Amino acid sequence: MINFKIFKYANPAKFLNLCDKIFIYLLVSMIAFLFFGLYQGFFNSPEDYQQGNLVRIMYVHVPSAWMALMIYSSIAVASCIYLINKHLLANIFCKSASLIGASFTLIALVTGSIWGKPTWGTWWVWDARITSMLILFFLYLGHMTIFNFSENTTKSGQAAALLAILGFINIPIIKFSVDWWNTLHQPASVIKLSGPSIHSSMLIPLLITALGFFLYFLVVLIIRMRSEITNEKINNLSFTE
Amino acid sequence: MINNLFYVVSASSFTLLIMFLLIVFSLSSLKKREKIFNKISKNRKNE
Repeated sequence: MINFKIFKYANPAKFLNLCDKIFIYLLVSMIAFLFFGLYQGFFNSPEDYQQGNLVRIMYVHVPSAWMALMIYSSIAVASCIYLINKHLLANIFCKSASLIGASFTLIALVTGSIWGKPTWGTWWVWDARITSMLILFFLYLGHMTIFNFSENTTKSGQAAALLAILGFINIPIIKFSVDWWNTLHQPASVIKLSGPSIHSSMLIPLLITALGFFLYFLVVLIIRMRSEITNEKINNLSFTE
Repeated sequence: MINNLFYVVSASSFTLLIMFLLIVFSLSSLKKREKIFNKISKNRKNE
């Protein structure tokens, strides 16, 4: 058994207590960062010398794609914790985060497609990056389907955890697809070893928006986890009747 | 120029719409479950 200090919050009551304390701060910061980041990105940041105003799609497309990858990675880690330590909260996290991750993946795919039409001349291309993102979307759908397939949370949780861990192989493929294959999608310009290659006037609004998206994830995650914990309580009450 | 703006507005509107729907859907699901839980707890207390 692996034991970390953070596991004391694996108790749903303690976790909900912590969430109650931080929720309002997360909500206020989320609104502030999203509003400020998007305002800066859409109205104050400069146009691109080649794409003009089209570059502003970046401020919703890139943070969504980052969130899609980050959420799936966190689901894979929580799945390992669930399989090893059998913490119910890890399973509830996976179940709650899946729909949020799927939504961000859908946003990344659709906004990418909207960006692709005027820049590449096509809505869709079977490019390595785009195809691997589509696979990620299907992995999220599969993960959610497994959870909804069975009423038994333990069994469905174990099957979903296995899928999440196996599907994690897709994450480095998405990240490095633009380096490994000759793709239409541009290579990384922010998260790379040599440092960001975009100007700070664009990078700062992008990072602020990304932080806003992350806070949004935390806010929705808390709501969904609270909902799942309530559902578990209902199931327990129904069983004892 | 106007054409480019159409793509930017479409992409950002779609993003904000999905984010809004997700938060509304999650909140309504929470409220519904809390209502059921309170109802069951109340019934059990009365028994």
